[in-house]
Amino acid sequence: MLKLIQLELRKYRITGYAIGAFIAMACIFGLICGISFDPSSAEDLPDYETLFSTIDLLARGTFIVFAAVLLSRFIIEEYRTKSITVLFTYPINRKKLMIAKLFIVFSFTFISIVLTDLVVSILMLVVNLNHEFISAALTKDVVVRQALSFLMNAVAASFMSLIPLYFGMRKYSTAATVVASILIIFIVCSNTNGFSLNSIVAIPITLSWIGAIVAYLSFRNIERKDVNP
Amino acid sequence: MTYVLQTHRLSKTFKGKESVSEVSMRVKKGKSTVSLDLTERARPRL
Amino acid sequence: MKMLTNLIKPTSGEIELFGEKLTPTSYSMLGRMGSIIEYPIFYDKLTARANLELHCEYMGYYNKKAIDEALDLVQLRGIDGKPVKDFSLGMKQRLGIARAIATKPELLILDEPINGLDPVGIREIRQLLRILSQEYGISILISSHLLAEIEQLADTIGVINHGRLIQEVSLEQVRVTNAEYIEFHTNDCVKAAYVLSHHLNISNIRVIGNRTIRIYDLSTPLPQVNKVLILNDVAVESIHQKNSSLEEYFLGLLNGGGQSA
Repeated sequence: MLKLIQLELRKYRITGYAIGAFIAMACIFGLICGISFDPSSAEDLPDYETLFSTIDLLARGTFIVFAAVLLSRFIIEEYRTKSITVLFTYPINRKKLMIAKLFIVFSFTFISIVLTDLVVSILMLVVNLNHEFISAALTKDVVVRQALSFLMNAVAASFMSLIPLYFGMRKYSTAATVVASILIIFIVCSNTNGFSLNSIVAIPITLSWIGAIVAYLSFRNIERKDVNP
Repeated sequence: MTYVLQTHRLSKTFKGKESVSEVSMRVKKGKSTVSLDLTERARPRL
Repeated sequence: MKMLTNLIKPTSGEIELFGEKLTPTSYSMLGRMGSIIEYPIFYDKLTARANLELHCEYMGYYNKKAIDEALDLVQLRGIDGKPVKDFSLGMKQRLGIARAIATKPELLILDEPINGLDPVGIREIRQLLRILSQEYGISILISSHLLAEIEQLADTIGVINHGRLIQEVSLEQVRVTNAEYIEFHTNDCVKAAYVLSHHLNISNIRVIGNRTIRIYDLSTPLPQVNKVLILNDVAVESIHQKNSSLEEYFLGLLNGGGQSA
């Protein structure tokens, strides 16, 4: 399996995407800084909780869309260009081939989100030390709670990010995949007056289950299905 | 003479039409076998 | 063709490869086959060499030189560093063949392999396939609709029409059935036969009716046959060389004139 993952990464230059992810991270940091430094919007971030959840929200949103792009390249494009037919004539279990691809998308998303959460948060804390946007004390409680929340949200988001695969595979369309992912972020990453749908725990949980199911469906019958011209 | 490939009454139906009907063919080891399709194609390739 | 590599599942019937039944999970068998189905497809952004390297890795084949050998055989050695998207159709076809043979499979399945090749390319591939079959002992299954290709390449021919196999016959047999012959008319067949056998050593003849003789032994050219017959007082009323073409044979099959193999 490891080998398969390696081969997939060779096929599609992953460094490009990694760089993109870092740029996104920098942008998010920049955005948060911007909000913090601008007096008119500074009150949007009154305490640590809001700060962290905003970071999380931005991270999740960005990388769910990112995931859709990866899904298009690693899976949908292979079907669209029929290069999947070549792949399937190899003496390798098709399920494993598919799982390798899904794993790459999932891990990339998860790692990106967690990294962004951590890095931007830490950077903001440093900035805060100098500029004191948030005057409250940072308690261990808050940190632990937040870390857990980051992790759980990241896992949920990573599963959710697979949902667009279902839509993209209907017509082998990249556009459909990305649009689907944008719809998803509207659901879980919108924050109106401090309330986001993501805080109704049932919603992210349901969506991640759906994501997992979509992933499962993608390789369930893959050995028996015809690959059409 | 061993056979590297054999099909027994192989059939395939695509969207209601039977595109392969009960084909039983053999390919011998080390030899070339050519399948010659005399059917006119519905849509020409290339 | 696609059913042989598990890309499409049969509605009914079985496929047996290398002595074992092909099932949706028969993965190891796939490693013993090389194939081109319809157009060869590659990862266009990667180079030809990278594509072949990936192929070998996926197939579990680790001979480093194999790629060079394959590229040599299809005459693509110099340009393996170019990305495949810059390749012409003919080059892609050749690369597809290189990929199919790189791992020295036991069975090669080719769907119209000379599609898109120029005449030089066609001849090269033809020679290549012959070498592969004869020297390397690779079994080859080609699907084609070009008779010229068949004549050059086939040991056995399976004739299919509307999805049905009408006949499975060896090229030898087709040639025999279709043999070329010299046919002449004379009023004295006995004498003619005698002359042919004694003066020209030709005995592979068939007498048809009492006025026609067909000579299947073509070692003696027609003018010579004519001359010898006449010099020996055989009245030749007409003489010609009949060449039955493969085309006639196969098209004849279409009309239901199926002779049993």
